[in-house]
Amino acid sequence: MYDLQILVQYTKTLKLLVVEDNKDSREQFVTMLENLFDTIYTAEDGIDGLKKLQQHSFDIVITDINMPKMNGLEMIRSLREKNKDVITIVLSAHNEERFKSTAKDLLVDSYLYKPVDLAQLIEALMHMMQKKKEVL
Amino acid sequence: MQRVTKRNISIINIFIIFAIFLIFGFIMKNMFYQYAIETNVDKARVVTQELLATRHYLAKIAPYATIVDKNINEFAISPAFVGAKIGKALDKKGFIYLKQTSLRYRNKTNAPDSFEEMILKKYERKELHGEYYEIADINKKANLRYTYPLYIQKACLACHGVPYKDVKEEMYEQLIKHYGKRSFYYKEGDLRGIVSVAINIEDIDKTLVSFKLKTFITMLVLFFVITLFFYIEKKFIYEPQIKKIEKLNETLEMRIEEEVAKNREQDRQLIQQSRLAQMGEMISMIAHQWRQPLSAISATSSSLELKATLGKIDKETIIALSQKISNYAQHLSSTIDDFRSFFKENKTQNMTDIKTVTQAALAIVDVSLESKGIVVKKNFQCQEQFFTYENEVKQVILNIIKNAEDILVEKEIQNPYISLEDSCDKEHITLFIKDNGGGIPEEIIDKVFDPYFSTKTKKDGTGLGLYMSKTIIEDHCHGKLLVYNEGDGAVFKIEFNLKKG
Repeated sequence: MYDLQILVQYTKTLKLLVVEDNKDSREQFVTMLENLFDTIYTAEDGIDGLKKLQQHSFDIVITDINMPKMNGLEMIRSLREKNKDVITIVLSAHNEERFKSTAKDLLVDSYLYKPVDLAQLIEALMHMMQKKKEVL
Repeated sequence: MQRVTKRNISIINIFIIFAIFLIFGFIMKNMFYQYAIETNVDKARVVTQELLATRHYLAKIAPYATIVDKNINEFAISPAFVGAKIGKALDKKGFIYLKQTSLRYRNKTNAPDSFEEMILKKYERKELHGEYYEIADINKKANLRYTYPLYIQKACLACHGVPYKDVKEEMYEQLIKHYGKRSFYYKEGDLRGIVSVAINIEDIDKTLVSFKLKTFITMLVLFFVITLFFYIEKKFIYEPQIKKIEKLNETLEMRIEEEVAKNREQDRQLIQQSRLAQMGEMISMIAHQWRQPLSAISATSSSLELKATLGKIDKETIIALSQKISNYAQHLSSTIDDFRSFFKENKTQNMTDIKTVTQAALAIVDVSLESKGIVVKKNFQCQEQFFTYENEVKQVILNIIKNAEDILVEKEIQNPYISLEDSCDKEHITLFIKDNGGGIPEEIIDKVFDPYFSTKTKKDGTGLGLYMSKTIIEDHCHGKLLVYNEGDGAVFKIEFNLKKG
């Protein structure tokens, strides 16, 4: 409980981009994330996401993998060419195991399965926070 | 077939043997007659020549001989008398029949029989010259009859010529006493009579009969031997072969049965595989349908949990979020119902329209299509109701749409779409399912409805999907299912008969 309060204090300072093609899923996910983040931007697909990433500087990106036009991993690949610091969390369907090694190569911080388990998400964010603190 | 031919050969054999028997018998009979005649003619000749030689000798010496013994007649040494005696002696012994005969006989015992009389007349008429023979019966017994003509010779004239000129006075007086004037004035070259010889050839006939019997027995034995040979051939060579062939046939039948059973098993396995594939597809479709509501439930419950943990929750929020979760759960439940009714085997027909059927099929895959960026274009104009196996038709439409989806994904087509259009007239209602997947190669377009024909090398292509679709539309629903290429893709045309239903 105490930990979550600390995490929220930390995450509230971060700027988040959520990339998800399904409107309903995106909205529901954002509603949930609003409990943790104050500043949330959204994008509909990889291309849209890259555009937002160029316009703003984000601390953290949470993206779906399977999307039309450009998938989540391709978007991260393009992002990594310029920015290696952004924290990345990908959301994968269970039948998309094949993307796991690609995600590792692209230095993805967390690989979570859909539907997102809250505990896993919080754990990933905690881990991220500790890493940041160590760097600082 | 072969057995019949074999039996025919046996019958032919019998005929051949019979014919050989006849020909052989005929030849042998002739040969024996020839032999009988030749050997006996020689005998007759010898006897005749001996008689003639004796007569000749006696003719030369008789006129000059003097009989000392008074008891013996002077004529005891005349050729005619001696000749007759020799003949009678031979006849008595039963060796041979030898006789001198003439149409002008002096003694009745020398009278000719009917055969001799006939021959004598022929000699007189000069129809015959020299020796003559033939086979003729005496007392119904086969005999070789041989005749030799006796002509007056110079030696004869010493006793039978002109009296006092040829015949001396002394001889004349002796002869006239016994024979009268008839025995004078003979002329050289005149026919006096014949030497007639007969030899019984009945024995030869008997031999011939026994020979015939022997031949017959030999032939019979030969026939049995040949029959036995064919029987042995049939029994020990031919029949084992037949049995071998029959056995081979039997095993062949068994092998065929085995192969057919194997094929059936393969078919069964394929159908099972196809069912499994269908089930797999269904599960994947359900997964697509459920992913969104599941993640919504997850997100909402997570939200609820977070709010509670952070102590930022009030009664209204709890109710609102709980209701949301409940709604999503309802959606999941209705999806399951949809699938259950979709894949339920409904054996009865019902009234429906093409739009309802197509929408129902589409509802199963729309999420999947959407996630793959495939646009679905719909254009329905027909309102006509028709009577059909709705669920089966839905499955056909779904199958065709899934095929289109697979090809669009596999070929990574840009701006992929599937268009669904209908058209109708008074008798038919038609659904066109078109895609822009590049069409079906012309060399295989005729085979796509064949069973076990599949182009899906990886995935779960059993090659039964379109085959079953065609069976459903054409056999169950009495409609038509065709495919052709148009523009940048393939068109599947499903036609229903409004009247038949």
